[in-house]
Amino acid sequence: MEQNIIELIISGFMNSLSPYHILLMVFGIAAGIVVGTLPGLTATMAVALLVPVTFVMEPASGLVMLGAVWCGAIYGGANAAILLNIPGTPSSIATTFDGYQMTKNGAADKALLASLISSVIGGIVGVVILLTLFAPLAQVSLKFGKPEYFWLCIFGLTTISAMSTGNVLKGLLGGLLGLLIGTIGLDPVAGIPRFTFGYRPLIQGIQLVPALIGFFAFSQMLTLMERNEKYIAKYKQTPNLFKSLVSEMLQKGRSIIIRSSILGAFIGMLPGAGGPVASLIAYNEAKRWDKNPEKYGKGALEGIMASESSNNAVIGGSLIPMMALGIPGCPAAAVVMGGLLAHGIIPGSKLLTQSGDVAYTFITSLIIANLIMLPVGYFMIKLVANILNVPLYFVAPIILVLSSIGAYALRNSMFDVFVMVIFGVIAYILSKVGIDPGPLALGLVLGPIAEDALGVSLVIAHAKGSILQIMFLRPVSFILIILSILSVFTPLILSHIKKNIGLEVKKNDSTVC
Amino acid sequence: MTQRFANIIMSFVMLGICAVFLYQTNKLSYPSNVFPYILIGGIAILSLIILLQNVFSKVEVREKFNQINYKRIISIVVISIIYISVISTFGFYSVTFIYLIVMCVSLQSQEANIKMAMKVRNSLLLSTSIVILVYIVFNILLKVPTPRGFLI
Repeated sequence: MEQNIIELIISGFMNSLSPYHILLMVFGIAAGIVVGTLPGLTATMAVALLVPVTFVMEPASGLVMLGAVWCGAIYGGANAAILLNIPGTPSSIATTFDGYQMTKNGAADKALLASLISSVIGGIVGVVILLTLFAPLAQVSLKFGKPEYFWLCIFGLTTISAMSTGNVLKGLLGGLLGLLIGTIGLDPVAGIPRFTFGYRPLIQGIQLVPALIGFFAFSQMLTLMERNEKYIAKYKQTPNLFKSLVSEMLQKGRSIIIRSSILGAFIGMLPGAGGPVASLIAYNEAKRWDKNPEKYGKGALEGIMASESSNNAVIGGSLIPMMALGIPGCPAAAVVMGGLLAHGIIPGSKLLTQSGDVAYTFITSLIIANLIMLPVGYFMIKLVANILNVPLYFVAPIILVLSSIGAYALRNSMFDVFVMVIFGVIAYILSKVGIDPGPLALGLVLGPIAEDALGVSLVIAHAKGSILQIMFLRPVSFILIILSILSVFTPLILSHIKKNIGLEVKKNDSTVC
Repeated sequence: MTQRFANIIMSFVMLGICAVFLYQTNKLSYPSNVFPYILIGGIAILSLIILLQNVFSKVEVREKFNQINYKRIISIVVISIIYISVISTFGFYSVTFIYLIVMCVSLQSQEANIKMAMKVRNSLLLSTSIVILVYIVFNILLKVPTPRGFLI
């Protein structure tokens, strides 16, 4: 069997390297980067848009293209996050924290290139994990029940402390507000409408994508226009950046990229978690383990490396349960699975024996696609960075037009466009009192998952007669609880130790709390 | 306005939101009300802490709110709301064309060194090229639906 797998891997590489497949990958990556860069158009949408195109192709070729589009779109989200402070896809929320700061500091091309290199490495690490470990790791993901999901969400929420430097109370307040907004609509356990105030469209709840576009795109447009500045930042291309950046990244962030990639692949395995959760947790961990955590949020290269390597590693991770068990790890994996099924390939235990050649061509093509992404992405960076040379009075209205399409396209609903504008105005006002959109978005992303997990866990606990056993004493839950506690208290303890040994602790004096 | 005063107002607004959501949550039954109660409790506690910190704080930080061009922000929000309100009546592309011209011309008002005729010409050029580009990318290539009205 082992011999067979090695043969399948080699034959998969040979198939992936055919000129036709290389051409499909170049097209797929370029299309993915464009879609990913546009706010509101998600990686899932990019993959879904191209599924019908694959019906006229051989199954392996179709999957090769879908994989390339997916990789390109997840990476492409970083471009808008870095240049405009608008995550092109929800997976790049954490990239905005340091990426935009680097743009404002005049290092846009460095940030863009770092995100590309990190995405490529993260993507390859994720696929290598998929290639070598997908059978045993799929079993690990099966150990995640609802209580474990609840604690994973709580662990994700602890990243708020990482996002809210010097202002944890307001960060937590924003996170809770995001969670509360996430409760609008049908209750995930009992199916009862809540907080609709008699307005019927609210029964379906606040959709994540329009709200995120509002939080990041519309509010950012208002922030850009509130002062009479002509450009977002001064942009000057840095010569010979690639070589110096690679050595800087190898020196500063080798462990960050590897750790974030492994985290991303692991979180990708968990159905429903996906890129946004992975990148936020990876960002938090990078900050928590760093000797100088205060530099995060001010243009730290390490922040971009953590976020971008983890969200691209999610691709490999989310394919593990999809290919091994037929359970997609994220919406884009579900669309790819639809593509597999449309070609008569059934994911699961018989995938290797019945369609091993197609499966391994697809997996190995993801490694090649990530490698191809380096030159394609590098070429496109030079194009997208020029956005900084366009005056703001032209950029701002275009942002709103693209945001409107992004919000509308998800459900063909003008209600979502209004949600985008209303949430944009709310986020803008909140940002003026020190509540950033990051914690709000995190609460909104994790809220429905956390509530569903909590509700089902409570029902199970009620049936088994022990809340303690179900919620706290299961091994994975217990580990996640410990990690959550460490995540919240480590920065406080470290700060206390620093104070005690006489190091200067900078306090954000623009806020009282 | 000082940051302290802004924090106090924000705390009261948050407490008001808590009151509205609490009133609604009281009408819900178990288990639909568990999660909202936890969140409302959390928001109320944090808001109260921030309120008390600011009421008893002696630190006065004058925020740079005065540098914000409020007139510009309000006009962008109003024009944007009008824009999305009329899209479904007239159609996305026609309304977008007009919206882009109006926004570009009005936002260039700070540019004293550019003549009005030049501003209008730049805006017309930009609006036309953006609408054509959006139509090609979204309608033809990506097949992403856009709102339809009695125009296009």
